[in-house]
Amino acid sequence: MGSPRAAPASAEIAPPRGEPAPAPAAVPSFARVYEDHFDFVWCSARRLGVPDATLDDAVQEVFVIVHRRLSEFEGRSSIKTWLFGIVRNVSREARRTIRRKSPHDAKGALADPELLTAAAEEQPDRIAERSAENRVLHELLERLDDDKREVFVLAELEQFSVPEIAEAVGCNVNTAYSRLRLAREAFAEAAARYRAREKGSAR
Amino acid sequence: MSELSPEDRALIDVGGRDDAPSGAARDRVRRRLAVRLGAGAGLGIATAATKTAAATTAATSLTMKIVLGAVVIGLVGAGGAALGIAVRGNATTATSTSTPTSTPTSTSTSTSTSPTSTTATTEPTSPATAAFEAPRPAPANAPPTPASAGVTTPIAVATVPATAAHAAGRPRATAADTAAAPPAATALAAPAPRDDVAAAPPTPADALAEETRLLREANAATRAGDPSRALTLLEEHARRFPRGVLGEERDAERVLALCAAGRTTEARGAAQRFLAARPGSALAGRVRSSCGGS
Repeated sequence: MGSPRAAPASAEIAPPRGEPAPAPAAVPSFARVYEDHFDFVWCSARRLGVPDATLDDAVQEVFVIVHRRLSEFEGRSSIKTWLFGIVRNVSREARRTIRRKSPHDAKGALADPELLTAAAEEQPDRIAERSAENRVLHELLERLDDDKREVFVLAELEQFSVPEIAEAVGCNVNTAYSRLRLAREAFAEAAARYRAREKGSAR
Repeated sequence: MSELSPEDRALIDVGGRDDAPSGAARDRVRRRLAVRLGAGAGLGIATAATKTAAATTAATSLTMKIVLGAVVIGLVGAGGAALGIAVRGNATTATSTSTPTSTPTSTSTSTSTSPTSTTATTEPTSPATAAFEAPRPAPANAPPTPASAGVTTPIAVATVPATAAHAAGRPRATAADTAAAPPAATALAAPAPRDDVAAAPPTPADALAEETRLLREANAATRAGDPSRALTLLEEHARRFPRGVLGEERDAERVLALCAAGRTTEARGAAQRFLAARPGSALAGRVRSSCGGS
């Protein structure tokens, strides 16, 4: 105490806790975002087709970006639509990386062979956690292309409104409506085929 | 708009539930993020450690050991329940007033400790090393005297997110958190006492911070595709901290670095020694699954 630098800190203690000034309140802390939205980010990445083996890395990557760009989030959109935009990019990149099947080519943590090994090591547990319904759902989602899959996941699994979806995926509302309609049709068709196949193989 | 059939609806509702992450997944990613983003993530280690350290002046260095040790365990990729707890504690208490920026955080330790290092030792190679160059003192050197409380202060400050200090926002989250514990507020607000104790030998907490730094940099080097640098750092750790708290993490990391360097035979030898010496280690799985374990 007695240091001049002590003054601002003690002054900061004075305001009552839990009542931040309006301006900083618009941008939540990173820790808060992590706590509140980890589940959303995780589920979204998984539903957008990031394989279990790289899910940890993808989710980590999302939060690294969130950490870097949180100050840019100005409350123009809801935090969830903003987050989904990041998840969407990371997931697409993760899927591309997997498709290339060449972990050494790509840059960044997603392609770190050591991390891939580490994730794969834990994979059996995670697959065991998943129900048959979950596996079927993911198989059907795989039938949708990226654009349809994204709007479908937001609408059907996250109950986003269509205007929110438009904002999250960066298209206009009419396009979002149209994609959602096509996505539902494609999903229903894939589900019907799946059931037909199941019945066929059961006999 | 076309709607889904009830059957499809049910499939989505039931199947979608299992996408939720487990608590273990949440903690696992949190640990790795804390390592990757450093204390600046505010995911942190930082505030929780500061709080704990201040609230229990008697057990400060032990607390730091646990918290920092857990960082490194997370770093090598397993275990680390202690960090999960510490971090969770912080997450619930941190208010949302600080504004994380993209300030690089990996340097927070060394920059924050630099004031002490200038007077600490001869020929500092880097601020951080200088502060820790002296051999580890016996634990007896760290009774809960005012002096040792002062010595721990730089550590507490060092682990506070660099972003808190640099951010456009105010470092109020930390200040408010520690308001209930006056010693912490004092320690954070008045870094001046550090000068008084700068010449004192490093406490176990200092040594541990340095151990952590070495392992963290080694891990980063391996990840960045520079295993030879990682091995150099690990050797430095072995030389300076032959009985270091993080010896287990060092040995595991060494196996991984040897693998990354393509030195499979040596990796196997190191892995076998590791598994023989520490069969029950939380890191055993990681070592076993490396190139040295086959």
